Amino acid sequence: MTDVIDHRRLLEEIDAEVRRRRESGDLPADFERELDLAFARFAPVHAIGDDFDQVVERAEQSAFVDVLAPTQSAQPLVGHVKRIIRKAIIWEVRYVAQQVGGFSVAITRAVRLLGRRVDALEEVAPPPARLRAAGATTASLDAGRWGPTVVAALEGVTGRVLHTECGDGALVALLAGAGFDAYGADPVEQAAPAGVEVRTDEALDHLNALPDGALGALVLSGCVERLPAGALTRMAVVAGAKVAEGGVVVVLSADPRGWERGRSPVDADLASGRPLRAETWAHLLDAQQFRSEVAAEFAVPDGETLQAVPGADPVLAANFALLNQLLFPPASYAVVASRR
Amino acid sequence: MKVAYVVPRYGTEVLGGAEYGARMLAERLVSMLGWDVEVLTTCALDARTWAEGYPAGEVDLNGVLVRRFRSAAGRDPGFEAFSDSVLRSPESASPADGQRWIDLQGPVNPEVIAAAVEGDADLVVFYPYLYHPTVRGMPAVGRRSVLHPAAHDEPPLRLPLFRDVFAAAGGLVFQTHGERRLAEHLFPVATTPQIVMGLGVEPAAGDAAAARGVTGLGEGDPFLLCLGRVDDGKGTGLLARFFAAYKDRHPGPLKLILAGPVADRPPQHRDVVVTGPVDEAVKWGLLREAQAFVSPSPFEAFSIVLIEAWTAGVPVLVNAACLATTEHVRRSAGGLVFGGYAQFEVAVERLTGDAALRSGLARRGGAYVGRNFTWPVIIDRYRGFLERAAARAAG
Repeated sequence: MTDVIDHRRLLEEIDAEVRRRRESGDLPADFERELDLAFARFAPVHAIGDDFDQVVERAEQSAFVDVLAPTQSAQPLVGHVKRIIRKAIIWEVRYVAQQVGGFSVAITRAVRLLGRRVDALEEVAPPPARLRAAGATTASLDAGRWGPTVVAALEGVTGRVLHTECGDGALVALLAGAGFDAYGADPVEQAAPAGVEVRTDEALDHLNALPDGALGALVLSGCVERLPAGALTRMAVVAGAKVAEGGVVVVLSADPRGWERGRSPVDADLASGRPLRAETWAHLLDAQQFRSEVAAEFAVPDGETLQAVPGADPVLAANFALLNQLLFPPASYAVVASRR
Repeated sequence: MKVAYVVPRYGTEVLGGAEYGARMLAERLVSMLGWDVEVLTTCALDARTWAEGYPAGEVDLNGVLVRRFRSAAGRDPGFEAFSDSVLRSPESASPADGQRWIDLQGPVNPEVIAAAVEGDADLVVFYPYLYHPTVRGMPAVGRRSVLHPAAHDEPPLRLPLFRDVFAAAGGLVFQTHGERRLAEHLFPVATTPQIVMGLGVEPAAGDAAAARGVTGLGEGDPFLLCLGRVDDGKGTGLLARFFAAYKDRHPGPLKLILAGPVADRPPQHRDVVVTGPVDEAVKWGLLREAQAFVSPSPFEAFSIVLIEAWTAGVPVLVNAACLATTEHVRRSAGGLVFGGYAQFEVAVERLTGDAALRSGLARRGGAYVGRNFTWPVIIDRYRGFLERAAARAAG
């Protein structure tokens, strides 16, 4: 089994065993609570990070109010006085502790219920990271195809140029080679070309972390083909805030009409969103004080489309052209939006 | 290419995490790339007081020119009390209190800063974020500065004065993705050129017999190992307590070895062995014989010993509250985590009771180290990053 350890399952098995011991009484609650309070003292809640279950568990542990205040003292008389005071007011402290404890339990219970609702929502609309774990991959951009378009679109741009999602960083390397101060972000950690700066980040997470006006240009790809429409409209708004005056946004995307054809069934079926049409991106970006144009579209090469025989009736040739538009829509496009 | 490192203390006797990391990198820029590297530092040896243990002056240490300057002040006796009051609510500390906090903490060394500003290095690398030379030196050096923060989520990081320190960096070198996200969350550095890099390890064969001599264990006796300062703040007291509870419920030959300088000695227990500081041969001997390596600390910026454990072929068990070590475990699948006693108990049972699981986890950890934390991999990435930072600073 050594090389086929399912790490996630292993951790789940350990958690299941912990639950079993608690429920069976094998792990007495008082015994565990005392040790876990010691753990909490050396692991303050801010150190737990963003693990929802752990933070709620810590809140549940903290909901217990110990009404017996310590009475030790280096001076015997003070300790004696403390014990007398504790005995005198213990009924009142218990009364207050019961109310505080009840309130804390109710709040943590409410947070647990809210967590379950969020879990249920994420079952219906999984976040991108979970979809990737299930097998859906990010789009792989053909940097060689789009590189010249992007370089031309960025002419005159100063400041940092971000490409997200940048995959293996090939386009970032190309832009850096063309003299731009380029870096990339991609949610999947992978080896980038030597000397290429790539962050492991979701596109929107990274954009939200940037100060306003921090970018000279923003190149969007990958995420624009798989995020839900709500996230894409948000991305257009964020792009408007993060790209400086005189800056440029370039959207590289598959055309929705040809999108499914080029994807594996797993990718297509597990995608939480679909690409937008070029005109929609232009509309979204223009609403953010950009001036957009569709810079290029790549269609299926002529040799692969329906061809009318030489000398064919013009009506027949026109019908072939119409059929080609229906059967072979543009595969992908670039929208270039300049900040007004 | 000429690089100057600014660190609060430096030398082969300095084994602290950040300073040790700076020395490892500085020496390899010389030995692997042939770069011109100097270190600007104080004469301090003790990180708690900044008491001076080195003479001022210049010395060559493994190809690195070390220039030590006398400090104007070390750690002020009133620092701890003042720090306690300020760090109760660090976000709301006034600018004056922040400045006073950094001055009292020390080491205050204007000569180091002057040497950094006036020097001809292409880049000045500050390491770590927390101390006076970095706080005062970074803004003075400007875009030639590169910061290795070595930060974790601790109260001082939330002092407002560090916002300007991080913002002044021409480049940032992080040890983990968690550290990078933390910095981006707290400071406006998302567009600052940066890299997540970590540190490499140099494995040694180790001396198993010497290790047994130090611990008093027999050949094949099973034990869990914790390396580093034996300090309640590092979680060793908690680990000893958890282990004692575990042994009450699981009698047997399993021992816990705590190997490192002792700041807080845990209560005596027949199955807990505290060795004190150990040399490299004993350290690697212990690592190679351990059933599992335990990192109980909730506050680690990187944890080089975790990387060493995987290099030695040992699985790890880490504190779930520590961002850095849990990130290593999540990315490598080379160990387990505990977020309380119950998880600790079940994890130790699994690790000590299943040799195949131990070797499988250790192999995953070893592969992770091979991909990310060998010196050729690290120095190659570091070179690319520094060259771009230097070009940017020059342009």
